[in-house]
Amino acid sequence: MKRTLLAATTALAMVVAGATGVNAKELRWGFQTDTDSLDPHAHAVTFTIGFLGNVYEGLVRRDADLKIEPALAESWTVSDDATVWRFNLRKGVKFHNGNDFNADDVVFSFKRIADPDAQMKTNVASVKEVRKIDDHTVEIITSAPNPILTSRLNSVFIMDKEWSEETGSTKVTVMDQDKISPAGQTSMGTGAFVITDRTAQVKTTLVPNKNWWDKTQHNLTKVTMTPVKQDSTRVAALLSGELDMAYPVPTQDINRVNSNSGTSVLVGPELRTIFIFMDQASKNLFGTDTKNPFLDVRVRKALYQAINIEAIKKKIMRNLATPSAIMISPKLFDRASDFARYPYDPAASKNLLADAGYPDGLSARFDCPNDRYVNDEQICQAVTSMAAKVGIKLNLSAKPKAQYFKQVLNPKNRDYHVGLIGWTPGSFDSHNVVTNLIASYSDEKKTGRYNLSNNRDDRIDELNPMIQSEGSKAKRDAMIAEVYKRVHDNVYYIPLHQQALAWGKRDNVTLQQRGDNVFRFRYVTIN
Amino acid sequence: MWSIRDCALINPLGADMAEQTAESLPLTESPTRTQSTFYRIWDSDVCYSFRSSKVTIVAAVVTAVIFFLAIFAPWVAPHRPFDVATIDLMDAELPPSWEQEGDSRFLIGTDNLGRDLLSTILYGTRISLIVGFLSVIFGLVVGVTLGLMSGYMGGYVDAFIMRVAEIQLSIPGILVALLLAGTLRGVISAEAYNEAIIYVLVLTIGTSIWPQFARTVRGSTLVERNKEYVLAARVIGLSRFSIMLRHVLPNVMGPVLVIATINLAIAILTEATLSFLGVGVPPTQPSLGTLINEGQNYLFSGLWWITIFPGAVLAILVLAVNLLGDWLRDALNPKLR
Amino acid sequence: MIAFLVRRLLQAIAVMAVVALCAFFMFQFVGDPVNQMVAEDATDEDREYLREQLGLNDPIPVQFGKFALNAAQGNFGVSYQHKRAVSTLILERMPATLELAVTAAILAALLGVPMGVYTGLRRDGFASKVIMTLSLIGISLPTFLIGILLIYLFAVILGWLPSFGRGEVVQVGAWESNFLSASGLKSIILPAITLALFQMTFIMRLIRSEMLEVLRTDFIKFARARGLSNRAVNYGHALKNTLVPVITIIGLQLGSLIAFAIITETVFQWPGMGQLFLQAVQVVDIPIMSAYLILIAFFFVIINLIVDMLYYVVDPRLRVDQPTGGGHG
Repeated sequence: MKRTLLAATTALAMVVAGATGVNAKELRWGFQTDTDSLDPHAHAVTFTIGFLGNVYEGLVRRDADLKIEPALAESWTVSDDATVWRFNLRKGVKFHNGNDFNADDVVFSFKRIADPDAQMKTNVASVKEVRKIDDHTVEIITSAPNPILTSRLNSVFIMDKEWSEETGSTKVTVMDQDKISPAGQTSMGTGAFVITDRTAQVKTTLVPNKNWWDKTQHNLTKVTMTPVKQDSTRVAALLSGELDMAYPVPTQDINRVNSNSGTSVLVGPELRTIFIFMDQASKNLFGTDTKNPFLDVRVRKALYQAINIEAIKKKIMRNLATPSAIMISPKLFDRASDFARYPYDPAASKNLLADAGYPDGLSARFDCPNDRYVNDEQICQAVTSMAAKVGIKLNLSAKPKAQYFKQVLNPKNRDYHVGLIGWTPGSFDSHNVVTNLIASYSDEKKTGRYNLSNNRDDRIDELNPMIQSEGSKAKRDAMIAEVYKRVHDNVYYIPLHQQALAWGKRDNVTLQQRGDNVFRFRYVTIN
Repeated sequence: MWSIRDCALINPLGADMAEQTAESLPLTESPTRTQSTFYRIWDSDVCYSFRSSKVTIVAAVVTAVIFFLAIFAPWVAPHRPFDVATIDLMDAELPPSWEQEGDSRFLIGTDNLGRDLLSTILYGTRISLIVGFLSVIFGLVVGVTLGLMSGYMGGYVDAFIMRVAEIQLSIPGILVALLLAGTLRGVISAEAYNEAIIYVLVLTIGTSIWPQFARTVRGSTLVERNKEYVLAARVIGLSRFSIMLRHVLPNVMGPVLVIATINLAIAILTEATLSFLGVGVPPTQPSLGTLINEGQNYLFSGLWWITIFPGAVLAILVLAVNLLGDWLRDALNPKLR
Repeated sequence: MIAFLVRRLLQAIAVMAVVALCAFFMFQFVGDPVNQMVAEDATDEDREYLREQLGLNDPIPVQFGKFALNAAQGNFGVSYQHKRAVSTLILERMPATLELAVTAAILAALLGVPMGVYTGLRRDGFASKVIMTLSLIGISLPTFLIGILLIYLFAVILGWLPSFGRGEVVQVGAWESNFLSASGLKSIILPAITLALFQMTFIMRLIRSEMLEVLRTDFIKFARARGLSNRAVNYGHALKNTLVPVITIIGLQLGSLIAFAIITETVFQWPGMGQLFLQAVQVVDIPIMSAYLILIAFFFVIINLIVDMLYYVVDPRLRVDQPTGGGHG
């Protein structure tokens, strides 16, 4: 990795004047991994996109409470049938190299991100065409009515067309050594921060963009991002003062960080919901001649009621979890309070099992990732132990996510009985949950790709497209609530909890913690 | 040249040398029972050097105690940590019983899932020892066989075996284990994997050991095979196989025993290291290594007992076995007397 | 000698090809790279497209053939995760690993050799026994635990040394070095100690036993009989004679140091090749995994080759490839 961004050097000198001095406020930040590259369109990786959101911007962005707000577009209007969106672009915005931002950049970026090799293309899957009206107006036409289009546009980052052409970055990298896009190593956005220096996997340095269009809230002069993979090492670096901010902090280390002078942990609810799925389509348990017991709702409910969610919350999550009755965070669904979990009741579980014809219990395999969610493997071990007490013998098989997802995410060969997974709706909306996790699997309709319980509920399949195109919030929420009620009544899934975020920081750092675990430097102040 | 026969402890496999010396301890109490044999053992040079080294005696006793407790864990342990139905999550993270919040049911506390730490360690030691022993036996059988063949037959057999050893050495053991475990996860069912992981570990650790045996045995064999007694054996018409087996083998057993003992310690440690890399026995049936790896996450949080106790047991076990290996090396080397 | 060298080189290439082939078959089962790359809401079509692009639909022998052909030209493909040439990535990481491994090897030799000589000369001395036992304690705990304990002690409690990374690196041509800045030097201390501990004990014990053997040999007895001073005998004759096998072993260990660096690098967030590899395993980045394994195999093969040549030079009797004369029974 070249340590300087040659193409941008001159422009940077202009933008980044006076970054050092007596009042230097440097934020040293450590995270679990590094950004995959600097290409804003190539990777569908939450952290990469979240990090690059400090450098690049979309037409819209999310504020600290995750509400959509204008960014590179000042305002927009949508046609009555929700297929034509007109965006009025912000005037006077400049890229880090001094180039003007205009409609050509938008058209170019939408084309670049739609490239089949760009993994972020799913964000514009519903976009049919992007039309330049004039230099500061574009129209986006969708192939079907899409009232929540803007909920995806915050991740469609706008690149400078001229710069991309000059550097040969008009396409994302394909798997050929000679066709590597320079945009992976350098960046040219409009965002609040400019990357000045980067050694992949070691350190990335950013400075504020002095010409940023928005009002500056932070007081930083420099940010360095260092990946520190090992949990204990990351915590050690925070405790020893080598980092000002580090996350995630493992739940068991929160007390240690808080009791250390000068550091503390900021906790808050995350949007991800963790849940258990049970194969409800196969006649026999996969790979066996045993009748699939989870076809019977009583067995599913027995497993549900065997789980002492409060014990998991207290002992494994150290209270950093919110037990959940539905498949989405209450922050993202206003009627969440209509739902309550089935109570923890081992005696009821045993009765249900006996009713279902399993008075002596049953056994099944339980698959689990061990490096994906907060304390995932321990949760699975605890569930295994709790289920064993009512007579459900789960054989736990925990494995790294690369192997786990390969095994369970194959709708054509469902090699699992019971398993654990988590989900954050990318659009922060229930329709994403319904269509991906709850609607029945159909390759043709592109629904239920993640319906790991493999349940088939005709009423839900009927509601799913209606939720997508319904414009009235009340009606829409009612339909969503109906879906969640069916999931709850039939125990298609066993929701466990929303895990919490734990960001460790030095006490002199103030920041905004976003529920999607994305860190925006523009809210940071250091005293 | 290796006068191991003096000790009358010849064991064609030799791998259990450490254990056998440990067992020979009670002999001190009743040396008269079957006098002739025991006196021969008692008087031999090897046993003399054992008796005269206090460190070795302590190491042997410690090893024996740990082996005993591990082998009889199901009868000795107060709880059954591998039976998930008996674990209560609400018991998690209790400190040792002598601390204020301790619970008398759990002598040295519980781990993060509520398992009795003492019982878990006993069961875990058992698994670590099984993996260690099987790995060494596997490496020894393969290595000695190939080493003998290589050294005695020479020629292309020798070249081929030594190249295979080189290929094996070309990928370090931990990498082989990572890939092999990943592969097995992919090709066999999940239930079978949990069963098979111990054998995967044995296979990979054993595989990383055998070239040491092969090289040593080959070297000694090269020297031995031109000795007069071998030539004589050939003259009287003994087959190549029986010459190798009966005449060369006993003579190279000394260094093999030493390698075996030291590699037992290394194998136990390697198993622990692999669990750090995510290739270990499942945490529902943890080995010492798995326990330490899980426990290291709690080092900063004040729950010291979750790592320190399993760590200490592992360290003491490895140290004791290594000390025995040390003694063995010096005792079996006649040139050093 | 030249024939020997050529033959060994050909064998070396064969060894690497076999390593690559084995690795390639194993990769098929390590996980699914596609799932790691696509967005959660990617369609089956998108996934199939990517699979095709990565060449994962080809039969394995075809995939391997393509890979081998490119690799022979120094092209190891593009990393799935980083979207950069694998050769660049590995070259970028190599200095960190090599500096760590070499520092550890030197540290191990500097401490191990004198202690080995001492314990060898004073076999029954009290200090020797203490050193021997203490040296074992250092290798009785798994490396990762030692690393974490060192971090806790020296970075968190005492605050003397950094807990992660390489500190300030100085660019010397294409090489990024740790050795030219204070923070770089401070950074390498803990990881190098962690990595060196095992090797140090190993070298010490090796020297000790070699010394013990050599001191028993006739030519040392003869030297003493000639009235040479103890010093001359011990260092001039005995130590010198132990060095060939010792250098051999240290050389061989350099390869395993590089491999074991995987753990040290992970614990200390040391940006070397081992860390790159381990991360590649987690996201099934096949191009990086294969390139790394081939590189490691290459290191081992080269080191082995040098060792064999040393043997060849030192002791012609042990010519490895020469079928020894005098037919076998």
